[in-house]
Amino acid sequence: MSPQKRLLALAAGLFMLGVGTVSAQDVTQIRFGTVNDPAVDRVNQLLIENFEAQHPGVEVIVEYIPGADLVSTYTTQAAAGTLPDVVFLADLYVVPFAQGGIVFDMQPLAESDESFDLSDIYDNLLGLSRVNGEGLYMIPSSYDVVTMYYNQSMFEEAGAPLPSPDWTWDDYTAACTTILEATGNYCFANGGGLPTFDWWAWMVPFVQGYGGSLVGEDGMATLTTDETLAGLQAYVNMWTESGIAQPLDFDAGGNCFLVGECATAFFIPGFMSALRSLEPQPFEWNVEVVPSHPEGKFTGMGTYGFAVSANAQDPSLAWDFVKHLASADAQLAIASNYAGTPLLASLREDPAIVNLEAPPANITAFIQNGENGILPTFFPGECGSLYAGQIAQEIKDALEASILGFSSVADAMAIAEENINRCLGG
Amino acid sequence: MTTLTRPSLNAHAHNHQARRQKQLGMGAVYALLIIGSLIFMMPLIIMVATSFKSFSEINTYPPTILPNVWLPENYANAWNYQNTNFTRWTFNTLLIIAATLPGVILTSSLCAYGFARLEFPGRKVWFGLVLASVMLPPQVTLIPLYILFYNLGWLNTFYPLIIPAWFGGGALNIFLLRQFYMQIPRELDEAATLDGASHFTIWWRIYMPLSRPALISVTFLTVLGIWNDFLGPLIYLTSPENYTLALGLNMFQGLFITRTDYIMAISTLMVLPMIVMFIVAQRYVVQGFVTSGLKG
Amino acid sequence: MTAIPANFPAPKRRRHSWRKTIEGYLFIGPVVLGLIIWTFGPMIASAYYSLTDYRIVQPPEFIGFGNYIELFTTDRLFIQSLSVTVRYGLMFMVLGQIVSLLLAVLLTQKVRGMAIFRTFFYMPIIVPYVASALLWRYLYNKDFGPINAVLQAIGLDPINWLGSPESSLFSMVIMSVWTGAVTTIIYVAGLQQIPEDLHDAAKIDGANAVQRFFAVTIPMLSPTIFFNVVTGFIGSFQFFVPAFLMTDGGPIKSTYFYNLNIYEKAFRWLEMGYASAMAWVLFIIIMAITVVLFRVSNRWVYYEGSNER
Repeated sequence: MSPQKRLLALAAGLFMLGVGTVSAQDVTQIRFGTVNDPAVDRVNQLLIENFEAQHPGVEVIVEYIPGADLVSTYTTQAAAGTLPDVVFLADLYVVPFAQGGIVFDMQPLAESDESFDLSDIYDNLLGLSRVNGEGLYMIPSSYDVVTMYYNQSMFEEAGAPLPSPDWTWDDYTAACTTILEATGNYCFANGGGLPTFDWWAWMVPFVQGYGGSLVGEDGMATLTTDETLAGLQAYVNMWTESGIAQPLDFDAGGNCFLVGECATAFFIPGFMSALRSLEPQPFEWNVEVVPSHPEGKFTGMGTYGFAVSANAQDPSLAWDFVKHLASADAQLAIASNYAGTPLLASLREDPAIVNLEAPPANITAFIQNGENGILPTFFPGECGSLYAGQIAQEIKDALEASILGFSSVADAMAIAEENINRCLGG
Repeated sequence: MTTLTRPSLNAHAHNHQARRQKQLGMGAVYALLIIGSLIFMMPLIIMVATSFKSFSEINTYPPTILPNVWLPENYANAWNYQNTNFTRWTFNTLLIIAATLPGVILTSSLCAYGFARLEFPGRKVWFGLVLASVMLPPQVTLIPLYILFYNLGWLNTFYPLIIPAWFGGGALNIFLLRQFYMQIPRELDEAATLDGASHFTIWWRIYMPLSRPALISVTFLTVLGIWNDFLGPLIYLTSPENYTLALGLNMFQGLFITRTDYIMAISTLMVLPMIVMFIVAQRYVVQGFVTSGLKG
Repeated sequence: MTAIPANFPAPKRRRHSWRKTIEGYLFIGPVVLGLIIWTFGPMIASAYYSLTDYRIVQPPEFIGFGNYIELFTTDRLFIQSLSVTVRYGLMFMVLGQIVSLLLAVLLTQKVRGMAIFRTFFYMPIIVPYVASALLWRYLYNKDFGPINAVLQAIGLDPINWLGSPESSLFSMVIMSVWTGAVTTIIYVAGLQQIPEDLHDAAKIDGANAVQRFFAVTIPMLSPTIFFNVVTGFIGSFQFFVPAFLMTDGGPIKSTYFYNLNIYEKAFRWLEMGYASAMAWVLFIIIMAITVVLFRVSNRWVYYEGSNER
């Protein structure tokens, strides 16, 4: 046989083989889309076990969304109507997916389900699952309020006072300046695995903390009012004036806080699981509620959760699956994995949480900090949100120009405001 | 041609000088090859080194190049990571390659021959369309294509990754082979035509064997492309049992923790067969093709 | 080889044309079918989307040329991202082709162990992207990166490779050239296809290595060079993944490539209609330049076996 003939024969054979694998789809089943994270895996298992016990005839098909590339998978599946019955969702998708009718409004189901107590879930957190206060499009996974992680070893080495619940941002800046001068290390970690400087959950609390708002009563952007500018200026000052924030071009080879080069990180409870996976622990760390602004304590929130997709053949069946995420059972499992903080008020004092092994020693700070959590400013119209689209883009560019010193905060924000309002107004 | 220099009259001296020059030249070639190898090997070295580091050591500042403590068990831990099945995914990837590659080679060279050697109305237009098909950024055709495969009932099967390759094997492969075929002297096919050979015979008996270096390049790039393809499997394959290796690599990326140590371990394992393929395939590349015998 | 005269008798051609046409389409049949089935539909769909307000999660709504008008009038990032892409494309075309061709010449020298060396040189494309991106972040690091360590050792100032808007784009070019092994592989194949007797003949004529390179190698390789120039150009205009992974378009949009812009519009902003319009504008630019490249190629690309000029 000539080599060419052999190639042909091989081709024909393999072609048949390659196309011979198709999966059947007859049994009653429910598709469950989720992520493969060590901290989330236990929750996935719990949800599946619970559901299978309740509905023995229904098979659960798990579909992982590998990697960070959630968006291209979801948008494609959403466009074609092939989303799984139960989908993994994060706060940033709630509004566009709800407005597009891709995810189901679970509010009626939650209200009519006697085994489910919506009022036990912290109200401010539920705001992340609603569109401007309406509906219920995602069951959140955890009371994910942005809290302050700090490198206790570094504070002590620099002789800086340890964070306390009554700290103001001035106290924070003073301690950080001490650290910067004594050790050369930065304080406010950003990028490198953490969110970047333009994360609304860092920036908007500064705006509100100075009495400002990004949007006016008329729905137009208000980036240049005195209060808003004062808040944004205070935020940018961490890079420009005091220099305590990790510079945008400082690449620590990873997460600056995790590698021990930044003294603090403002992030959600699940970050504990990453820190605890370092063995041996490279430094002592703890958590504290966020410092106060002139107008009080404000901080952002951001969580993942599960939702019932509009494709679900039987939404009430999918609801039975999803609702278990907010059960005491699942919440305690999440918390004991250091993957989150219980979102049920009834578990607030639960010994299983309060007595969790340190670090962090001050784990209750997550719950105490909860009430400081605010929602992302809602912009009506079709110009995007603080997560994506033109509004996010304009604000990000203005912040970047201010932080890098290419422009003053006032000038940069004036341009952003003009561009946003041109879009909103016409 | 350029100015001629007269050959040296002293043949012995000339030979000696030539040999010395040749040795010097060889030395320079080796020096360049070794320096170049070091520069181009950098990613591999860093990847292998990182695959042996502990998760804590990866997260230190400033980063180390070589591990302080070597952890071979990273490989076993990565291979047996939660919810993964790398054995199955290796098999899936090989299956896709095996079912795709013959289609790419056969149909791309067939089409390339048509574009390079046959005269017929519409040839230029179709060649233009083939090239144009790669000019539209793929992000915007992703959704229509996905909907097409959905309507064909091909989602979560290997069909979307295999079948299109049997229709021309990719525009760039056709273009590449066409360029090679246009370089082959026409005397070869004219002689064969006189002997009564059809175009199909000329393609199969003359062009396929002669374009071996180009076909091997096409093979390299196709296998490598499938081996590392992430977006296609990500979009079309939803059940974990249908995953490919490149997709499986992303199972180490979680919400809060990305296991870089495991990513590097599996990457290292994934690179090994590619290295073997490159070395083995090199042996089959004929060093240039000699046409003098055919010309005479 | 004699070229067919322009006034070749027409009737004789027509007599064979049906048979020739059928034969031709039998050969290119696979790709013709492939284009009709897999490509035209999606392309037409995206052309339609470009005339709509299509937010993916809602059905497309026809708006005529609204997206195009917005693109050319109010979108400040359109010009910025196009300019980044054009500047990158020019730098990459020049540097990439020269380096790849020189490497290919080195890799076709007849020395022992070449198969191994070639594999080493191809390594950057074998290694998965995740590892490459990590490596370049490390190499380019302004504080502990080895490149700056070398610069400082020889008394030069360190460069803020990825962190400064002045150098970030060029850093991307260097990285792309380094990962340009595909171009090198194709040059190697092209060099191997050059008949050795041509080199031998030139050697007998007394041409030295450099003269032979320009008198024999370059003309004989011109179809391969042409291929690499065209595909390199198309590829460089669609480049964005490393920028997406390493700089996210920054700082100050200095690496905000056109396709990164399209990706963000499509998958982050969920504005598929607008993204499709952007894609079609790029498509037309790429096509226009490619047509020019093909027209100009008649003057410098030499096909040994062609009766076309």
